[in-house]
Amino acid sequence: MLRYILTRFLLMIPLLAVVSLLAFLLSQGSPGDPVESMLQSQADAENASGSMSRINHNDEILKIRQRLGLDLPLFYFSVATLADIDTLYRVREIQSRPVLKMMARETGHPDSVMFWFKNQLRLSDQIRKSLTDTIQPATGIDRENLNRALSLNEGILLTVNYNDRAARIDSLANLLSLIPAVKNERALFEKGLFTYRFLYSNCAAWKKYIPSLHLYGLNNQYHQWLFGNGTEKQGVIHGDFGVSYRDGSPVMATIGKSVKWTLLLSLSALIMALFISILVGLKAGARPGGLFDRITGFLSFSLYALPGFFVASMLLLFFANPDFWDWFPASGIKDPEVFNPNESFFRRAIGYLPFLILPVISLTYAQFAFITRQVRAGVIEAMESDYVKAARSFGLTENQILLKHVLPNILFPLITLVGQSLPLLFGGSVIIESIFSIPGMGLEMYQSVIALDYPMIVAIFTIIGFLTMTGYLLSDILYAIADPRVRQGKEAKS
Amino acid sequence: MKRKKSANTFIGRTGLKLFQKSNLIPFFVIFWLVLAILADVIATDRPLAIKTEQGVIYPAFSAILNPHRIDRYKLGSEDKQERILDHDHVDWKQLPNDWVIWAPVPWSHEKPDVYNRDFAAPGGKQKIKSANGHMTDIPFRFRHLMGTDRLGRDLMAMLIHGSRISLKIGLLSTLIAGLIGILLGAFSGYYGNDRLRLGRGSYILAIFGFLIGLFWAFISGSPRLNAGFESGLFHASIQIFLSFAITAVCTILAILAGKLFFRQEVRVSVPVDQFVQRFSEVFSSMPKILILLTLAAVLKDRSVGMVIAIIGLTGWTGVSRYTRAELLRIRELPYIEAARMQGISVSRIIFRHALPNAMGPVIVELSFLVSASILAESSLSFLGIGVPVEVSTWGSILSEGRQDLDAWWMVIFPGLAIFMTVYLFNALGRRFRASQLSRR
Repeated sequence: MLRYILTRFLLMIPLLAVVSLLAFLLSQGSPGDPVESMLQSQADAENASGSMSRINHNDEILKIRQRLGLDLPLFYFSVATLADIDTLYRVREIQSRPVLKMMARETGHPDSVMFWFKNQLRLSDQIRKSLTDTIQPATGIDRENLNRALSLNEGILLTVNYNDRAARIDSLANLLSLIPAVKNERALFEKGLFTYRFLYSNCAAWKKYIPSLHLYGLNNQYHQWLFGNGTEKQGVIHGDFGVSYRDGSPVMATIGKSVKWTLLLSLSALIMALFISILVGLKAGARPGGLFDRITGFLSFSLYALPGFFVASMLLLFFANPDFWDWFPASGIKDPEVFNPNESFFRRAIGYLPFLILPVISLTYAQFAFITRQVRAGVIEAMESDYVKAARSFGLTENQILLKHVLPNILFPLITLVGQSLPLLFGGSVIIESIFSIPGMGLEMYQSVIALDYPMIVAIFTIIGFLTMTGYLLSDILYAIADPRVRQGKEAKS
Repeated sequence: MKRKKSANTFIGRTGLKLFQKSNLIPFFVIFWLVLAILADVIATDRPLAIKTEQGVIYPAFSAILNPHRIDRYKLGSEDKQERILDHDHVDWKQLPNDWVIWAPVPWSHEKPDVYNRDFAAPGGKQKIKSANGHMTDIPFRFRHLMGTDRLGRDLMAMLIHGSRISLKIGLLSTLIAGLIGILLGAFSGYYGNDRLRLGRGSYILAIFGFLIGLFWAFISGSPRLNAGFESGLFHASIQIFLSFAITAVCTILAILAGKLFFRQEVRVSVPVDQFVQRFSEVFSSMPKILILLTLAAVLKDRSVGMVIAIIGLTGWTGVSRYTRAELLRIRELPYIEAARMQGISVSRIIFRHALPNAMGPVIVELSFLVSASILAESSLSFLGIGVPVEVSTWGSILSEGRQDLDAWWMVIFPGLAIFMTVYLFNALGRRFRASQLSRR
């Protein structure tokens, strides 16, 4: 038995690694620059006090990139083509990366492309220097031309299309020939132009069909994300999923706050569903085909087809609406601070109750339909078994048989069902929570997806993946305890 | 065996006896299909036929071919003035006519009824402009039987046109999920972990070919893929298909090369089933709603096609599980053994002999999948991240109704539409299952 659990556990580890890797890649393949969006949200939070100068802004970005480890390679290794630039992750100008990648692919000379790129950057710096030169300040038409040259040069580094880029390079050449006083710039430009012409006249396009492997070692983003960098980041292994882009608070703290409500809701819904459906299932399964069975069968089948958001909206419509019955509050959960903290637990629970009843009902009904069918099928099977016949022949009443003999036997598949609903207990229901605006995991998930808050999304992905696998493991172990055939590695044949 | 039987008699015995006995479900499905297909003629503000000064015309039908039709005509031969009838903008209800036949629901799903804006209740006061230009109470024929929305659009017309979108999304995404699931399930079930035997050299070559194929398809081809994604769903799917084709061709070529070079060698079995099972396990361990949400939020191109693709691509695991289980059973049957002995090719055995017999449980699963896809679409639309904003679906109508709970008809009617459709397809699946049981 121990061996079985151990093998299952070991099999889980590579799958977990894959899930975490997928979640991580999802956050990397996402559009938009995380640093920009982070700064944006911080600026929003500071509420338009952000009159940061452009230079300052760039410095800030660099610092944050370094702090988040975004200047590191993505993974332990990379598989790229021979034409690709293997140090592209070091290029600070993120918008230029696609251009460089494309150029390297087209020409097959990654090093020369990088050389050209650095040369153009130097040209920009040189132009900027000439513009701010105090000894020989550029004036009048020259200044204007220099400014235009600067923006043209920066435009070149952002143009992916080959023809557009060629046109811009031509006009830059014309522009620089108009300014007599800029020798340095012209020399740099000539050098760049020479490299550029060389690149496109000696294309080695075949290189993009040859794979090349680069090893980056342990100092990479994934490794840091997983194990931390020893100083600031703790790593996922230690439960640190980083900082939310939305408000800059640690992801785990936010999850801890939200999961409380979700657990409360989904646990009470699960318990209620189990309680009701076991009772109904027992009664229905005791006499299959009877009136009660037919009614509950039809009911549970209909309930199964009712969309959750419809039920929730209907409940709100009828029970939280002054036009019908205004029994329950429409949405939200009052903050615990509203209550006197010294209030007894019981009174506080009573205070929460009206907020919870409607959501719990709308969470319960769907599970009710499913579990009732399971229980009913189990009861029907059990009623035909020998031990029930024996019990009957001893003269036990039907109720005694159902509760004492049948119930323990059908509980078992239910335990595995509970095991598999583990991720649901954590994740909650996006729809129900957003309808009733309960600050639980579902709403958190929804909001972070809408705001593209990747650290949060990745954390939820990873945790739910982990819980799903744990749920599978749990139910498998429980099955193995019950069924010796599984334990010995043979699949039970039905 | 016993357990399976009891689980299925539940389906046979309970439920609506009416549906079970008199076989009404297919009729309801056909009714739903007709409603969706003929939505343009059933719910439209253009008359089916009208006799005006121009003669008898059929605006509702001609709108199918050209919705922006403009008629230019002259009355008689001596009339100098050209008259214009702009089908798109004329108020048909005010048009002078000799006689007129209206559509069953004489309102458009797009054009608002300006006199009944801001949620006109189904049973409440509704107005219409009479021929002499006064506002009067609406006659019963033109009543908005299910009310209107904020803009004044007729809810019933919107629901009927919404059925078309849910039909499209339900069937097409099930088609995608079904194709992926059946293919993966069929190969993993037929080959299992032991049937696909390759020489050791060919095996290594095949892995190599697969990897290099992946490289050429997805890494060398990344500019191609990016360009495809930028130019829309159609190009993106072509490029993705091309990439998979490149991978497959490389793998097959490598296997063929292996067979050519290494004639006699030790044969090892390829654990096809293991690969597919692990893949689908990883896939299903991710929360589906989160995948849907993330994909829908990340992909900027919000179109009905994208929603279909997203739901289809995430829904195949169940189908593949059922197909695999069936094929694991069928592949042991004598007739498959016989076919193998005759040297019939594997693809022919799978597609001609094994799969048709495995289709029973798969069809059951597929009809459940249709209802699940419709549910998924309406949930996404309800959350406001499904189809584009200008397309109104059942889910988005319900979501609009939830904002203003006074308009109860905006919640109840779309909800009932979703409920009935989902119920219908669940019942259909149940019927399929019951009919299979009785056949065995």
